[in-house]
Amino acid sequence: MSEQYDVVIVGAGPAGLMAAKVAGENGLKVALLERKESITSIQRSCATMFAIEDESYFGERMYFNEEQKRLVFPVTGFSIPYEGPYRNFYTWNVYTSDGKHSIKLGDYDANQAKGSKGRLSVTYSKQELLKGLLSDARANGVNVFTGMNVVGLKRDNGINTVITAEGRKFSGTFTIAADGINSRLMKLLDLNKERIFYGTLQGAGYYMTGVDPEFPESINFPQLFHKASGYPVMIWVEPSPYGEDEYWVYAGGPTHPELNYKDELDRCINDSPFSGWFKNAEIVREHGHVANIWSPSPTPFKDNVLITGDAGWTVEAECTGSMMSGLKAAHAISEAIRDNQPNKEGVQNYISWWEKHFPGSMDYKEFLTVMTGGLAGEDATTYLHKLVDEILPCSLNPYNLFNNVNAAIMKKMPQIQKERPDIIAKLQALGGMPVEEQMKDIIRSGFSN
Amino acid sequence: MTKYDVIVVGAGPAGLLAARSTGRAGLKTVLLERKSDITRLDRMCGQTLVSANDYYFDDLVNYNREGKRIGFLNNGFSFNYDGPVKNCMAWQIFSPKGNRLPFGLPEETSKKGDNGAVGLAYDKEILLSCLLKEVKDSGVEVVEGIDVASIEQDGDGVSVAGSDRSFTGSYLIAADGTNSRIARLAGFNRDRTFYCYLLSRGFRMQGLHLPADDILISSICFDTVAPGYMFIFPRPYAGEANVAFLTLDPRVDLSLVKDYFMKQNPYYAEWFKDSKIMDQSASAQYVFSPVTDPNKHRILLAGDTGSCQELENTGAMISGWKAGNAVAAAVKEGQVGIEAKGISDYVNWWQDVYVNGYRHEDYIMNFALPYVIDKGEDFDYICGLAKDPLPPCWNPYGAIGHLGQFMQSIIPTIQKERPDIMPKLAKMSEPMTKVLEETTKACEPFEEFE
Repeated sequence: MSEQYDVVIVGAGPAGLMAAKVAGENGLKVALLERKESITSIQRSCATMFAIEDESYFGERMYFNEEQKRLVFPVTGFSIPYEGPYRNFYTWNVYTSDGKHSIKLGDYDANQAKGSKGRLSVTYSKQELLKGLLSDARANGVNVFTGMNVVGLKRDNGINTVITAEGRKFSGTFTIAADGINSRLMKLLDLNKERIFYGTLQGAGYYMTGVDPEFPESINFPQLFHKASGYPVMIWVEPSPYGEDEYWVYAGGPTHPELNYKDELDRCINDSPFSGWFKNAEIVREHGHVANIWSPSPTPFKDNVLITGDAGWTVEAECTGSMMSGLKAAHAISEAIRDNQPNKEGVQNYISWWEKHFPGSMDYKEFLTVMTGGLAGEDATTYLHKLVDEILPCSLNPYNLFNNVNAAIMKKMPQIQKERPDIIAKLQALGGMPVEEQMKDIIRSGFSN
Repeated sequence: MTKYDVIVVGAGPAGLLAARSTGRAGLKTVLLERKSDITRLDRMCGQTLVSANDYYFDDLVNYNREGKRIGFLNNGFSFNYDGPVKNCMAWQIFSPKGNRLPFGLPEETSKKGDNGAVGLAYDKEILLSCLLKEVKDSGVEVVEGIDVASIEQDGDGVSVAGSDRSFTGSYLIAADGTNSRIARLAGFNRDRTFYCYLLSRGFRMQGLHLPADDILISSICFDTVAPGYMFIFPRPYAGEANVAFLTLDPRVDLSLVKDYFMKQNPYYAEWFKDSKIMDQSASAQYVFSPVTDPNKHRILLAGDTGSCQELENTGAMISGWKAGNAVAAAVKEGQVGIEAKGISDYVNWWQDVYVNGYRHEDYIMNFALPYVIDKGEDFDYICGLAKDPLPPCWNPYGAIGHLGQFMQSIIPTIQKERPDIMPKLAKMSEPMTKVLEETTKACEPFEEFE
């Protein structure tokens, strides 16, 4: 006998918990299913920055209100308490692989002098964020089930039933897919067939103490290259919210059979121009992740399943987009049930909102530049980055993070033409290809779900 | 002197929701209220939520009984209300003789349980204290006993003064209600059409013998110099109701309207014979056409300040919440130096949803009906033609649509039986300025309103 709910939410990350809290507040009968045993323990790599304090992101201008300790989404019109720790950071520094040069996105001294007014944003504790949402969800009567690995989805007589690996069934008028980047529900709905696959991202990292980067309260971003494959390897060193002396350190990039990002990270720490940062460093704990890169879902709705957060997006909607979509989906379902329209028409409000704020306001292909940025190779990338000697404005928006860098490089075109016509030819060749062609090898070595 | 990010004037439903939004957003907010106790209500108010079974200003109000929250599902916000709620299962208009024009029959709508309710009766004093608590928890500075008498606008802010205090802010949200002084001082009223006053007296009563105790009732007195109205609103306490007597014409003595219903008209006198008055209230308000642009030099109008008489509590809450968020977005946008979009989001909503989405003339028609059908016997006759109930409704805009369809359906009968009424009905399609012409003349403004 399966249990009956108004809505069954699969996945208790930021999108699913937000949806659960709101559906609970609206008085719906809610089941929230999470695969992990503990919702608030996070082992996956996550940079845990609040995107975005400085500009529009999914049509929102989210920020952190330090006094009332609330995350504020003024355009969508909601805010949630966040009582956990956080660390300000002020710039983003992109280092060439030889460690001799960095592109400075943001003026470190000037920004830092302004304190929290000058920060780019904060890194936060995802554990604490999820803990707060979970306690709100529970206080609003949400039924929480952990250790539930959803493997099946059936639709009969207008009722959706999700089935776990152990054979437990949860039935509801609506389902919310909040099961993240590698969403199983997207696959069960056959929606991934309509998406373009761009490869698989992998990464590994440590929380470390005793790290000593050039700009302590910054995102330090050495761009290394894997020796055998020539693939770009992104290194992140950023303040961790879990301790004044702690850093989040990460190495990641596209999957390649010969590329082990943990080895790359260890190489960066022990045997690279950046090793000096880690002389006295100690590992506190480890993290890692694998994420498939897809074009966005063609729709945020199928068979009474509402798709939220990363499940239907390209790599990541970030916490910002995830929480907004969870909230909007839950309100739409409440409205549909209240209106006695348990169907697509009933939740049209969510569909229109998603279309406007997700594909309508963000170009997912811009996100792919994070991957394609280093495809010209180590030599060309190092040369080009060294040309950028001005302090550039910084954006925390991954969709246009590299736009300012590219614009600064464009200004140097006459010099490049003179010194390195070979690089111009390489860039032109890459630029003339569709992104699918540029990413051909990455796509081939990825594994889609 | 402290400069606030935003000054909110008026701590009714609109002002409280606005202040809660800006406070939560971290804006330095001060909320000013003229009364010395925000949670005490002495103005007449029906204390119902419009509308429980239909969209109102594009939103659907939701009451979560277990979680004790009132929510707005389309805009996506909710707040705690831990007071009592009573379902209102229908709205019925009664003629002098007791013929009914029923927007729903409670015996039918109650088959749908809670979902059959057309409106929800609640206790406004409890609602105000619940909202006030959330406002205070959001870090808002609340100052009671401030009667704002003047405003001053300059390039980057607004100052207000009154009751020997003054306050300066980057933005001002005027939520000072239907007779808004700020709207007048800032020149918002200049382009508005003045229709009349709405005067009322309210009585909290016990011991009424009503045809049903869970329906909203309205009726009309044709015996006074101009029409008088009676509204009976269920209260969420056993055996209680709010009874209101209203008029659009200051020549009407409301105590005569009260006597008409409570003593003189034998049909209604039965309802009141064992009744007892627990408490009294009153109100006087302007009826204007809506302000078309609710934003002027960093002043935003929210709630009834810019509306045609009233947005109802639900509309006031939505607009207050929206205005607060708009100012929060605008302040944030100003800080990071990007194009300010926040305020225009609010202005667009006001214009698209309220001004253009809900015709204010339809709203006024609810009161103008006895100016069209201007004899008690004619009204008895028309109500008597309602063989089937009209769709269940507690929404002044929706009701006029249903009424229009009903009138269409009975025109052949009227043409046959009472051709003398036909010319009167033609008046229904005239502009409200024409329908209320005489009344407007009778309403000499008691304060310079421009």
